[in-house]
Amino acid sequence: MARSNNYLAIVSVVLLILLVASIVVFHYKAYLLLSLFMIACIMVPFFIRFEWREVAGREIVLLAMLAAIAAVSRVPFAGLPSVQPTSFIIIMAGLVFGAESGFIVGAVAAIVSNFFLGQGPWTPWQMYAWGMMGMSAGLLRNLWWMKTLWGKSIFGFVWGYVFGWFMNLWIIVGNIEALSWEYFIGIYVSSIYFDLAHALSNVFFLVVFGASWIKILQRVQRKYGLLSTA
Amino acid sequence: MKDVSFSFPEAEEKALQHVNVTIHTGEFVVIGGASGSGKSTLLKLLKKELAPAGTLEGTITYKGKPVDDWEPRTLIEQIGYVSQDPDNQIVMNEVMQEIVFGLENLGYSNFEMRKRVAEMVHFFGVEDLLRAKPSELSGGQKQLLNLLAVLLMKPRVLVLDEPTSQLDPVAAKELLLMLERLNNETGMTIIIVEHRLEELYAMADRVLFMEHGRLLVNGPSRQIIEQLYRDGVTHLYPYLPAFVRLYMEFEPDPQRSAIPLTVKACKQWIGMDEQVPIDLVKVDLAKEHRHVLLEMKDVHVQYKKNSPFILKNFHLQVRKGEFFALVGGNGSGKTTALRASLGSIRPQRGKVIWEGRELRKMKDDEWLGQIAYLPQNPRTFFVQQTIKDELRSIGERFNVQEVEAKMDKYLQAFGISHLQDRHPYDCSGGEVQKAALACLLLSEPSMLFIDEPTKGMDPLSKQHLGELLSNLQQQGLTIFMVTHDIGFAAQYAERCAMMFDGEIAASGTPDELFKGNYFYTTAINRATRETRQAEVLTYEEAIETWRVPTTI
Amino acid sequence: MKGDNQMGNGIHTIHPFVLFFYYLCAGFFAMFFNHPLFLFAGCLALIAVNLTHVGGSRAMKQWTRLMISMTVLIVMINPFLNSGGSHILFYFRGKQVTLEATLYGVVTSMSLLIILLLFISLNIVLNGNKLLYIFSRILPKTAFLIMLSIRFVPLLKARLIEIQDVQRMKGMSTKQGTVRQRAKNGMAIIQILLAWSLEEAIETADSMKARGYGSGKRTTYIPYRMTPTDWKWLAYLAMAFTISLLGGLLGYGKIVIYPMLGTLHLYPLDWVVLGSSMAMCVFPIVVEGREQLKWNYSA
Ligand SMILES: Nc1ncnc2c1ncn2[C@@H]1O[C@H](COP(=O)(O)OP(=O)(O)OP(=O)(O)O)[C@@H](O)[C@H]1O
Ligand SMILES: Nc1ncnc2c1ncn2[C@@H]1O[C@H](COP(=O)(O)OP(=O)(O)OP(=O)(O)O)[C@@H](O)[C@H]1O
Ligand SMILES: [Mg+2]
Ligand SMILES: [Mg+2]
Repeated sequence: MARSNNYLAIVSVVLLILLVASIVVFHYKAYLLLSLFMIACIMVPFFIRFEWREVAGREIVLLAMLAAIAAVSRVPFAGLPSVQPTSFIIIMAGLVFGAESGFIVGAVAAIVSNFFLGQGPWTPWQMYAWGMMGMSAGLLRNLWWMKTLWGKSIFGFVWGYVFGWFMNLWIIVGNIEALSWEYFIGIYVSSIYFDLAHALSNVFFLVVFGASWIKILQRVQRKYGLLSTA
Repeated sequence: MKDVSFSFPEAEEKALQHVNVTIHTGEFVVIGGASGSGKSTLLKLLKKELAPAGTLEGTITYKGKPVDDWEPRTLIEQIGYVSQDPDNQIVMNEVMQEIVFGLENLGYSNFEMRKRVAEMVHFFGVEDLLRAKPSELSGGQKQLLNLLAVLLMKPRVLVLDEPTSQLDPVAAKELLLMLERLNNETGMTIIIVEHRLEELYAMADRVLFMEHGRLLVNGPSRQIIEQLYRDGVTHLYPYLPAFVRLYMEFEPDPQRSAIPLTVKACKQWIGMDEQVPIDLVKVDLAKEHRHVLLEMKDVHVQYKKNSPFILKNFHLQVRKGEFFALVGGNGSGKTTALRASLGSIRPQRGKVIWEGRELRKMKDDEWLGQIAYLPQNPRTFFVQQTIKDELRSIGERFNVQEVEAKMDKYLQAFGISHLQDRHPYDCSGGEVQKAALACLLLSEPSMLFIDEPTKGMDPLSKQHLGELLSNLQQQGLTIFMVTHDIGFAAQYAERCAMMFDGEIAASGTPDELFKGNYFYTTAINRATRETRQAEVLTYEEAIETWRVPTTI
Repeated sequence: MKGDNQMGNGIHTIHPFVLFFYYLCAGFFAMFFNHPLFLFAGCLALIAVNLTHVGGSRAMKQWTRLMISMTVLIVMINPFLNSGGSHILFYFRGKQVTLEATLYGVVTSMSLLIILLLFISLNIVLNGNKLLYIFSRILPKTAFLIMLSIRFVPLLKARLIEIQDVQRMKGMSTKQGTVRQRAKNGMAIIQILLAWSLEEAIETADSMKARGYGSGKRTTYIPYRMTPTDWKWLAYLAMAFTISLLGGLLGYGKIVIYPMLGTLHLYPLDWVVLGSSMAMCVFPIVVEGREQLKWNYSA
């Protein structure tokens, strides 16, 4: 398990760097095309691993259910547009069930919610961002600071921003050729409020519900011997 | 199945103890027994893939060969399993994909799949369902779909765990008839766990009763009945069809062969007679003067814009201290009506009036303490990790006095004291339901809304529940129950209303409402209609009203 | 999710693989060429395509706001934010606003517009099951997981309603109170949903297992058959695509913007490339049109 985690970490980081580098360095016109292609390349290995791995029916159902819950979790918050519960659920999945499960839940949650809201060029980006959120949660879960409430909160807060920033990329990449600092900053400033709200709600949920959720998820895990924690 | 014992990991006592059963090919076997007696556990053990984690002693053999020696594939194909909840068993989001799911897993060719689908779908006559999405089907249709999905794999043995517990009498009847037909026409072995046994006695070749994980009795229907009465196992009488009990108790010398298992047989036993007029019990007007607690005036509800109205000019009055039951088929809008009266959904038109004031104009905390609501699925209720904690937390929220005493009282009343430290989800369906009810009653509401309270309950706990509810009613609690368990409604409710097509088709006392119906009535009523004995709805009523047996 | 109500006519009779290939081609077109005329033609073509879909115009309306705002944002802001290029139109607060930048903004926004239009059409034509059918051939397990997850959504929504009712009766509302309080209640509801649904999910898993999921190799029931017509359409698309691709690689249909705007003049071969790529983009219209003709003649 540990080795596969390292593998995951390396793959994801390397490929991300590759993505950014290629976009900045390449003198190729269709950046959006390229970027989508790259993202696909980054995610496919994980899905392939999932395909090859021996997966019990129960595990699949569990992951599907978590993803579905993450996707519908906005419903009770209809009156609170700024609250973003999905990320919290994905992080929880990663924390309890590990990096790979975290990634799957995140990525699938993105697809599923877009199935009902409408797919768009942003879907792959969302898949990647949420997938990575879940995965990183899984990768870091055994570090001592991640076990502390503070660590988790900071983790959630940071991801709130990273997610927003990453999602801005797909606009930027669209016309990277014309990229200038003002432009760049302009876009990021415009999204700062949402990112803050996202980050704060992550922290809030992690502080208030983190413990009980972990308990529930671990109970399911124990009772049905699912997705052995490593 | 030889001398099988089984115990769950954390459980102190064995869920099954020294069970010996032999089931022959082509038999129709019915298993009854109190909730928590280990029926589901038994069935799960029969279906190898589902055998729960735990320690198993003894051997289970299929066709003379221990199940472990069979290769998995054959067992998967030859033993089909349908369980209680229609929703949970559906995997795909298209009916077509759902029914071929099993075949896909077993790697059948397209040709074979198409062939089987065509055949089965025709046999069931459900062509029109194929295009629908499972989420749009009614409870009955869903359960039929599950059955279909299993049958496509051409099983030799069909194992069903309370398949009809979520269905209304008509849908349930249809399902059972379908099973009987399968059993007769294909010689399929059928093993079914049920609480509502009335129709089943006639179909069953053999009846088993379980108790505390032990196999109590085992034999053909009539023999069982006779045996029970011979040994005077009074606590199992409620599991018998009412008219059978009448026969056993009114017939001077009961003959095993003459025991009536069907309405027809019972009628013949009592003897036809058109003369007896149906004397309806008049509602005593005193009660009609009680002030109206809840009133719904010409309520219209639709869930989506320009989707059909689920409730159409719906009128309803519930008087203080009344036990009111709303009956109707699956999807007739009972739950919707309930939710409207709770103010959970805003009616497009019409008013909901609670104690003379319009509900939507009131603030939440004005009615919070007074209204209690038990949903169709009690699991939505539990936030805490154990039943005891849940009870405590509720006690705190509504700051109830001497919580502990009350807790014990209700736990006792429901006979679930031994479960109070268990996680709500570690109990069998019936047990969870009781626990939720206990929680609800704790806050001592003035009006109780119940949705399908008798779902998946065995007759005994039903009886307890019914008595408990009537007691509460005596103490002044107003009860608004939604159910399709007519026997229950007829026996305990004071006033019933029948829902059809979004309106209240008829309303009145159980007698007025149910006597004379064909399906929406109890079997005993059908049996006693137009006979020499007074027409009755329930066993208890018969005991009171019937003339002395000798006159028969 | 969009149901298969308009199943069995026009574009919906085409095999999913062919449709998928079309969207790949069209997407490629949008991001590969950058000649304003090409992209403009592409925009028109795709708007027309969407109009031919049942419910297409409604779908487009939904997205209009996003599309317009995005276009405006890029076209307006781009020239002022970056000042590359040599044809200076005018000065704005001492910063030069160039023709190149403006044109670039137009080009980018148009190609994004095409992509959005494509996705709108895709959401209508290649609805859930068809899309999943395609993926189930490439990544079966993942596709199944997604399918399962999608199946759960309506179930979960119904459960959420039930939970909200019950908890409302226990005095837990997401409608009233401070944001903090409401957020808390909201997540508490989700928590019940989680605990409940995960328990129930095991029963689902059992029903899967009982029907032999994971016991050896899985075949898929194929609801779609690749008909000769499908093959013809595929060939049609493939040809158009190859021509455009080659043309594009040879530099046709592309213009140089930075550092200095090149010519916009179209050579004969440009027209050829344009023609073929248009033939590619309007594929759905062609299909529908052919259908119509058939009807008219047979009638
Ligand atoms: N997963 C489990 N872990 C521990 N104990 C369990 C578990 N499932 C059931 N039990 C216990 O085993 C006993 C038999 O349960 P079972 O579900 O077979 O009863 P049942 O007859 O099916 O009840 P019902 O009629 O309500 O379905 C009960 O006492 C129950 O509490
Ligand atoms: N949230 C909802 N959105 C849309 N339609 C709904 C919703 N809830 C219920 N319905 C529809 O309203 C109709 C009545 O549903 P309802 O649950 O009230 O029936 P019911 O009498 O309670 O059935 P059952 O006996 O199975 O509980 C059904 O056809 C159902 O499909
Ligand atoms: Mg059971
Ligand atoms: Mg209902």
